[in-house]
Formats: sequence, C-alpha cells, structure tokens
Amino acid sequence: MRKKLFRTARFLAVSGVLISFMSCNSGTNKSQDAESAIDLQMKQKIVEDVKMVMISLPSPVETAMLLKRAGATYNEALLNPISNAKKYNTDKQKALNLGVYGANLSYASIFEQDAIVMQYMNVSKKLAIGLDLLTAIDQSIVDRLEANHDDRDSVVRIISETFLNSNSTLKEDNRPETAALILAGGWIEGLYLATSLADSVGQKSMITRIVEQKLSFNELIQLLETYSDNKDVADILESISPVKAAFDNVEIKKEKVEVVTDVETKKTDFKSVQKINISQAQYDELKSAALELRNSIIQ
Amino acid sequence: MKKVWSIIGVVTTFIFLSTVSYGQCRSFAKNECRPDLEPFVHDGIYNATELSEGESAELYKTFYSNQEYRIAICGDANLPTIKFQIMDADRNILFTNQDKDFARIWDFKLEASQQLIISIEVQTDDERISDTFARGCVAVLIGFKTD
Repeated sequence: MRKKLFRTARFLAVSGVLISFMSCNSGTNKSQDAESAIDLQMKQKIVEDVKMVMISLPSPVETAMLLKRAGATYNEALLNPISNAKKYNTDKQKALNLGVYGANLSYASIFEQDAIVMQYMNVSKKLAIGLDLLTAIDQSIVDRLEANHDDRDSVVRIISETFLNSNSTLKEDNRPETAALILAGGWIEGLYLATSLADSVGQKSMITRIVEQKLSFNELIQLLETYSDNKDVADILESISPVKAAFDNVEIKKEKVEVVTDVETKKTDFKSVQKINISQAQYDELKSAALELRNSIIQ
Repeated sequence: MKKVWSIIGVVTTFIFLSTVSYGQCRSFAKNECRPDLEPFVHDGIYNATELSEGESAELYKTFYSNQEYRIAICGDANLPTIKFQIMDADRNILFTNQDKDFARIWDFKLEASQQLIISIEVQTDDERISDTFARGCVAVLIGFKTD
C-alpha cells in the first residue's frame, strides 16, 4: 500500500515535468480511456526512469598503483615542476593543475618519494586555497603527512582523504564543473605518465593498462559532457578530441562474464577474458596526443 | 474525499522534502561510510546523494583486472534497506545483494577490466504507519587493496 501511495505521490510530484507528454483529447470515450491508460503507463515509466547518475573516474592513487604493478618506474623528470604553479591564475588553470599535481603526488607516494610528496602536497594546498577549497587540504593534513611520511599506506590514505575532501566540498558547494576539471586534470596526467613510461607495444603489462584507460576515458567524456554548458569544460572537451581519435582506433574485446560468489567470505570474482589490439603506430599516436594535451594544460 | 486529501498531503510532503537541502552527505560519507572500507583504501572519489524510499541511483565506474575492490553502500539510519546490483555495460545483472540479506559491503575481483554499473535502490518500508517518506543520504564508496 505504502509503495503504491509513494509511486502515486512521486508521479504527481513530477507531473509538471511530464505535461508535454499529455495527449490531446480526441475520438470516443473508449479510445480516450485507452489513450489515458497508455499515457499513464508512459508517465509511470518515465517517473521510474528518473534516477540520479554518478560517474566515478579512477582516482590518481588507483591509477598510480595499477601502473606500478604493471612495471612502471619512477621518473621525477616527468612531474609538472612546482615552479609552474605561479603561472596558474584562472580557475580553469588552477583546477586542471590541481588534478595534475594530485596525480604527481599520488605517483610519488606509491614510489615512496617522501620529500617530493611533501612538496607536491604543499603546492596542491596553494592551488586548493586559490579555488576556495580551504578545508580540502588544511594544515592538519600536512602535519599528518609529515608525521607519517615513512608509512606508505598512511600516506596513500591521507592523499585519498584530500581527494575526497576536495570533490565532496565542490559538489556540495554546487561547483561540480570545478570538480570535473580537477578529475580531468588528474586523469590526463595519469595517461601522460603512463604513456611516457612505455615506448613499445611489446611492454605488454603497461600497454594493457594504458589501453584499458579507453574505458575510463569514455566515463571522462560522459562526465565532461554533463557540464558542457560551462565554457572551461567545453574547452577541455574540445582539447581532448585527438586523444579520443587515438583511442577510437584501439580495440578491446571481452568475453561473457562468469560470476563466482563465495557467500562466506562475501567475495565475488568476475571471470572473463579480454583481448586488446593496438599497433605500434596507433600507440605512438596515442602517446603523442597525450603529451600534447598534457603540455597544453601545464604551460 | 478523505483519500484525495491524503494524496495531497503526501504530495506536499514529498515536494517539501525534495527541496530541503540536507547538506550532511559529505560528513556522512566520510565519517560513517568510509571506515567500512577498511582495510581497503578509499579511492578518494565522493559518490553520495540524497534519496527517498523507492528512489534509485546508478554509479558508472571502470574496474580494473586483478585489483581487489570493496564496495560499501551506506544509508542514513532512518532509511529502509538498500538494494544494490552490479551490471555490466550491457546491463546484464552480475550481482545483487537482494539474496544476500541486503549486505552493505562486498568484495570483488575482475579477471578483465570493464565498466560496471552499480545500481542502488532504497526499498520502501511497507510496515511504517506514517504517510511521510524517509529521505536521507546514500553513499557508494569504493576501496582498493594497496598490497
């Protein structure tokens, strides 16, 4: 009964939105009844379909972890120099490069580069303040990072907390476009770092992880398109088109998933096989597109 | 007539509750839900929203092969149980917590990377006497193993 009542209430509450779906009066009573029934079904279907959609990109920490496991090495020369931070004056530059520095911070933390982690946390803090994200990286976080610098797991958790603080604050402050730009900056830097660390398609583990970014790239596009009315977001959407073209040439095939669940341990395995097709020329195109895009952000 | 007033009351309550901003989801996700991921590390991404009974939401995320993940679904204490399903990109249902006592926390591992859709739905509480609908924060947090 409650469920029925709820559905009725929800139906009526959104009926204003659905007014355009109402049909004109015509024909006999019988046909009117039939039309009403169809209308009702249609409206109820639409009401049921109104649901919140969330898009979750891989965080820079997760990407850095995956790359290390795939055989990536640490190369400090690849990081965006902290001296560049003073050049970032617009909100767009600050947001994208907060994402870039976040990815650098994550990469350094996974490879236990304590001093670099502190430097990049401090520069991230400055950009966060510039974006009115005062609570995202406060002094207590910097202090905790200093106190736990020799414990990689704690460092990773603290960095993860700063990401949570910044994207949750922005969403609750009704600034999801800025959150999307930060995530985009981090994602692009992750792709740049990965492609910079692999030259040949013969480096199978690394290449697999890089090609798999095509999956989350589609989510990045989806996320940015949600806010494409915003000029800064629209600009980035245009800038990433060469990366899209490069990914479009790459093929990922997967077979049907077999699900194995262990109720005792509350764990499920999704078993399936995937096949990746990429030529050296296609990889070179992707690598070049990633480099160009990333350099356009940090300049 | 009594029924009409009842429905009007319900609609008014629904509209009112829909416009009230709770603004508490952030601290709820951080303080109430994130600890459920231990010993996994939270990926740092904030996925939380306000939902009423009967409402649903979907999360799209790429999960990577040979990486162990934990999903924690948390709802405000006043909300009924939350059903969650995991679907592949073609919306084939791979997992549901409905036949697992509506478990809020579950671990996963994939042999091949793929985009998954996590669908959550706040169940309706048929036993409640009141005509108002519970509404509150629902968070979907994802953690991964670091070792």
